[in-house]
Formats: sequence, structure tokens, C-alpha cells
Amino acid sequence: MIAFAALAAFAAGCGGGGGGSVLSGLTNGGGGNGSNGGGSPQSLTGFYLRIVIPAAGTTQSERRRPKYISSSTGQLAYTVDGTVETPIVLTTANPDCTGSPVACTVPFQIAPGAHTFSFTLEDSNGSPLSGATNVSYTVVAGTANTLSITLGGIAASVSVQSQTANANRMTGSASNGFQIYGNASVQFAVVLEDADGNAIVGNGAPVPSVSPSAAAPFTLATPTSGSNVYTLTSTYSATNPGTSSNTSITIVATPVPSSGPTTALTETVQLQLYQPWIYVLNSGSGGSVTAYDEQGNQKTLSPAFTVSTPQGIAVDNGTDTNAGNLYVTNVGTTSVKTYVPPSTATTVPGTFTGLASPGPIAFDSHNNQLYLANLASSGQTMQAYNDGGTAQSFSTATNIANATALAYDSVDNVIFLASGTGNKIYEFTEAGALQTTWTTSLSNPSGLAYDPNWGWIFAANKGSNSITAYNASGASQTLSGFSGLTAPTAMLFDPHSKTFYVVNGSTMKAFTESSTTGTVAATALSGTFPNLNTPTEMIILP
Amino acid sequence: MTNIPSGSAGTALSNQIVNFKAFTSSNTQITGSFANTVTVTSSDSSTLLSVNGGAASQSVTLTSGTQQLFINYTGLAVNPVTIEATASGATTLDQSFSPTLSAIAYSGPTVSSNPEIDLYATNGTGSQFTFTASQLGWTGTTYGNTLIATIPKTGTCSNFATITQPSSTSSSTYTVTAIASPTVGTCTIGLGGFNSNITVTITYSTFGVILH
Repeated sequence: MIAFAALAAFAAGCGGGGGGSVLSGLTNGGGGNGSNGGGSPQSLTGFYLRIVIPAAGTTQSERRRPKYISSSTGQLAYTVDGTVETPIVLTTANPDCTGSPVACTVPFQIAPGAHTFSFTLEDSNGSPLSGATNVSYTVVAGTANTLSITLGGIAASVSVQSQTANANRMTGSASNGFQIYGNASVQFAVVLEDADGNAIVGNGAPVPSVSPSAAAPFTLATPTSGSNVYTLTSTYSATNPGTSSNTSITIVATPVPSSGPTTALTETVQLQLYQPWIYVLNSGSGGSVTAYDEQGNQKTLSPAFTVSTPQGIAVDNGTDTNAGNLYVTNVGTTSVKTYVPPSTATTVPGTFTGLASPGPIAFDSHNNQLYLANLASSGQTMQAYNDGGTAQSFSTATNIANATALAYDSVDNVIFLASGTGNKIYEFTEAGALQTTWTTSLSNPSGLAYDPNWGWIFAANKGSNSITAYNASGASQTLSGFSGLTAPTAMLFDPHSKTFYVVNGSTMKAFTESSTTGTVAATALSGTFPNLNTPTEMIILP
Repeated sequence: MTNIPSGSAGTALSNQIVNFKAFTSSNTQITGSFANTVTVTSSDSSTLLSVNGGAASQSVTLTSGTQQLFINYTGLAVNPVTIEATASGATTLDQSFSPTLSAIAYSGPTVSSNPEIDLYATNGTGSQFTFTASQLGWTGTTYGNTLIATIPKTGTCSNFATITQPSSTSSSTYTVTAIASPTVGTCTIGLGGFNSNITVTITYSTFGVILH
């Protein structure tokens, strides 16, 4: 038997938090003081139902509550001994609810004796958010009875969140699938969400299990206790960097016992595993192209690149029909060869007219254009082509001395050209207008790399065994972390691992960039980049 | 005397025949006039005697073996009544009229079959309960008695409840009401009738649900 009286007892608000778990703490009798969800104990006597609804947080962590009362809670649906009672509004529209966060102390009278309760917190649309069902409790006559219930969160959806440190290695979303690049470990958090998208984590929340699909080429480390962060390490060894291993993880969230739902929430998240390859263009011994994984282990290119005197290499990382194509300039034959990864020759409709000893080449994903520098002794110029090989307008009349490298700035949509013996870096618009010319600290710049993380262009100074970085304004700085270099001739920035690869004679050095400071430090690789032969250019795919 | 009825408290008897026989010293029944009159008396005013339909009285006189003795009983709960016959030169004879007594009848909330009033509110449902308590042959306007309530003057009853007793013998209703600012507790009141007592437990409890 339950009855409501016109009693309104108000108490101060309390915080969320605390360390409760599933349907814990049925306390009977005692002195009538209830513990109210982890905040300061409140002196509550009489007949009441007490709940504090946390305010909606602006950050993920603020929305987390160890014991689950959703910030979207709008009403309480409940039954007593199987009888469905009228839901209690739990907003400030109810005179028994006040403050922010909203604290409700609702008259709740019940006759002594054994009872069975079910409580379900719902949002304003009636969607269940958390609950506790079949709670048996005996109201002992003549005593102050307190029924303390930890509600179990009801998961309505699963969110998989790539962790910030892995942002470039793991992209995508749970709904559309994730792309994971490389064989280094990535971390992702599995977060269960209620019907209104509030995260349910911590003690008392449903604990999801995450399992890989059958024969998945990755290992999955279970989080330590109390953590929801999983570590995935791809073991995928690609035979073609342009193709992925398509696999998945399945997340099963078993409902908190007696929270209401009985059916597990299951969600499968698609994963595309890529193994990036670093293509190195070697100018020695007539020229060759070799490929490596990010650790410097050589990959097999079959068939081999058929370029006699390669000078530049670029990859079309656009999205049209030619996306993924590799373009290699062949200075000896004054041609541009096109390949489908990993190394199958293909053709494009255009013929790259106007070439004159083509050298460095770069791709502009913004307007789907290739830029290359002609090394002809009659005057080194730049030309632009679409990815089909058709010449495009490019207006620069600059006579370049010893064009050694090209790089495209994908943030500002400008092109940088290194002039080796000229000790310059030219900046051009996509239409070919010369913007600025940088000279500070340059000494025979022979390689360029653009770092979109910081918006810096890096130049490898063959003459001074150093690396110079320029910000978008052209201010330069020499980064001491690039140490131990001898006549660097090419460099590459790997956006997935945030690693610079610098050709150091006929060896390769790697330097990892700090995500927080931008500084670099030498990093060891498991591979040795074998068979390098006077490298001049590098690209990474994808 | 034989054939004394077996009355029950609460049920009146009127002119129930009692077999009365007198014998000589040689054990011969006297069917005619008695040499000495026989006086029959009742020890309780609820039980009266009469002879041949005459006036009822606690004491009557029999003069002949042809007369009939009657017993009349009001139904009042009483202890066993002694019916005594005496006559000069004769042996006095005592017989007992023992009406069956009833226990106090309680009608109201119970817990495990025991009278218990569980208050759990200060107004509305759960704040007031009533019960009745009566005893056949004792309470009510016919018999004019009320149950004697024993309410502890000290204790917890007054901390959470007031108890209203019947205002007259025509009522057997008791009302238990939670006071304005009660404290949780338990107390017991006693109700006494004729050779019967009951206790009624009264409680006041509170209930809080904390969701977190």
C-alpha cells in the first residue's frame, strides 16, 4: 500500500559520485539518516524518496557518474508490489524538486511489511536511463527505514572513442568504422551511453566486453580494472599499402543485473587496418624505388618499378578515380610514369606535355593537381598537371636554381620548392604566384617535409647537416632534436606516427615529434631500411 | 438438583427447568408436601430462580415435590454461580451454574494474527486507524461495562500517537491517530474485560528511499 501526502521535506543538494555498485546497500532500520549518493550525509526523516539529478556536464568527464543517475532524468517510473504507480516528475516543475543540481525529496509513504519495488529513471520522453527492479525490502514497523538503491545504467548505445594520442593512427567513428594505420598500438575507449547520449562509466555501470572478429589480424589487450581503454595492436602485414584488412570488433554490453533490460546491447564496429608503406626513390645505380613499413622493414614491390632514372615521386591522396596512384618522374626519359599500388604500371589519359627533365613532384589534394619541377639546364621551371596528366595553368616565371624538393602545404594550400644551391625555399600559390622566398638558415636544402600538426615546413639542409623549420609566417627555427645528421638529402613526415624520416647518406634516421611541444627526438626503429641507394625523395602511402 | 443449564455469557436464559428432587433418609423421593420447606438460593444476581413460573429471585422456597424450579440468567459474564438448596434437618446441596465466558473480541489490523496498528503517516492514509474491542456478556449497553484500557503513561505511545477510547458503553471503537510530529517507536496498550485481556501493539515507522 502506498500513499502520498502533502508533505514536502526539503534537504540540501548533494554531489554525485561515490563508489557504489549494483543494487547495493539495502539498509533496514537504523536511525533514519540516509546516505545520499556520496555527498555529505543528510538528516532525512519521515517518508521520502530522495534523488539528486546531476547537471549536464559540458565535458565528457563531467557527465560521468560512478553511480548512475543521468543528467537527462525527467521522471521516475516505479512499481510497488507489482502495481504501477503514477510516475513522479523529477524536474523543478515538481514543487518537491529544487536547486541545481536538481534535488528532489518526494513524499513516499508505505505501510510496514514486505514489499517489492521497481524503480526506473526515465527521460522526459519516457526512455529508460537507469533502474533497479525487483528490489525486496521489508519495512519494519516502529523503526526508521531507509532503502538505499544504486541504480544500474541502461545502455542504449555504444561509443568508441579514439584516444587523443592516437588521433592520427586511428580515425573514423563507431558508426562508419575506424581506419587504423600501422602496426603500433592504438588505444580507444569504449563508452556506453544512455538513451540521451550521456556516458555511463565507472562502478555500477554495465561492463562491456570487446572481442575481435575471427582470425582478426590484431591483438586486443583487455583494460586494467576500472579502465575502459582498450589497446589494439595491428599485426597486419600488407602486400599493398593501398588496400586494407577489413575486420571488426564486437562490443557486448550485458545489462546491470536487475536494472531493467535483460537483453545485451551488441554493436559491431568495422575496422580497416592499413599498413602504411614508405616509398623511397633511390637515384643511385640508375635509380630504383624501394618500399618499407614504418619500422624500416623492406616490403616487396612486385612487379618492380620500371623507371630508369627516377627523380621524384608523389601519391594522389585525393578521392577521385585516380586516387591512390603513384606518379614517378623519369628525368632520363622526360616522362611521368603512373603506377597503381603497390607497383603496377598504369596509364592516365594525359601525356604530361611540356616536360623538360622532370624532377621533384608533389600532389595537391585540394585541387587534385600535381606540381613538378623541370630540371632542364635551359631553365628550371615548375608545371602543374591534373592527376590525369593534363597540363594546368601555373603562372610562375621564376627561374629556379637546382630544384631539389617539393612539398604541399595542405593547410594553407601552397606549394614549397627547395632550391638547393640557391639556398632558398620558394612559396607558390596553387596558381603559381610566388608568395615569399625564404633564405634564413638554409644551406643547400635538399629535402622538404610538411607537418600539418604544427603547420610547419621542414627543410633538410645538406650543407649544414641540420633541419630548419618554418612556421606559416616564415619564421625559422633549427630544431636541436634532429641530431647526428650527415648531408641529409630527403625527408618525410609520417602523419600517422608523427615521425620524421630523414635520409642520412644511405641510411635512414627517424625522429618522433612531441604532440605537445613540437620538439623532436631520435627514435629507434626495428628495421634498417635496407637497400637505400642515394635517396632523393620519399612518400608515404596511405 | 440436576439439569442445570450450561449457559454462555452474552446469552440470556429464561425459565430453564432445573430438576429438583427431595429424598427421605431412607432415600425415598418425596413426592408430596415437604415436612420442612426447602430454600434454594443463587449466589449471583445475574442468576435468578423461580418456582412454578412465579417471580424470579435470588432465593425461592419449595414446599412440595410437585413444584418445578426454574433458573433465569441475564447473560452477564460471571464467575460460576452457586445454587444452594437448604432445608431444616436435610443435607445442604450445592450445585454450580457456570456460563461459558467469551474472550475479548478484537476487530482491526493485525500482524501475524496479533492486534497491531502500524502508523506510517501524519495525515491521510496511514495516519489513523480504528479498531473495535468488545466482550460478549460484558461490554455494550446490555451489560453496561467497558473494557479497561491500560495505556502506559510513560513510554513511547505519546511520542507518536493518540488513542481515543469509546465514549460510551454503546461503542466499542478505538481510534489511533498519529500526532503532528511523531517519532518512530512501538508501544503496547492493554484492554481488560471480564477474565480476559488483550494487548494491542501500536507502531509508528518512517520510510525513506534514496536513489543514487
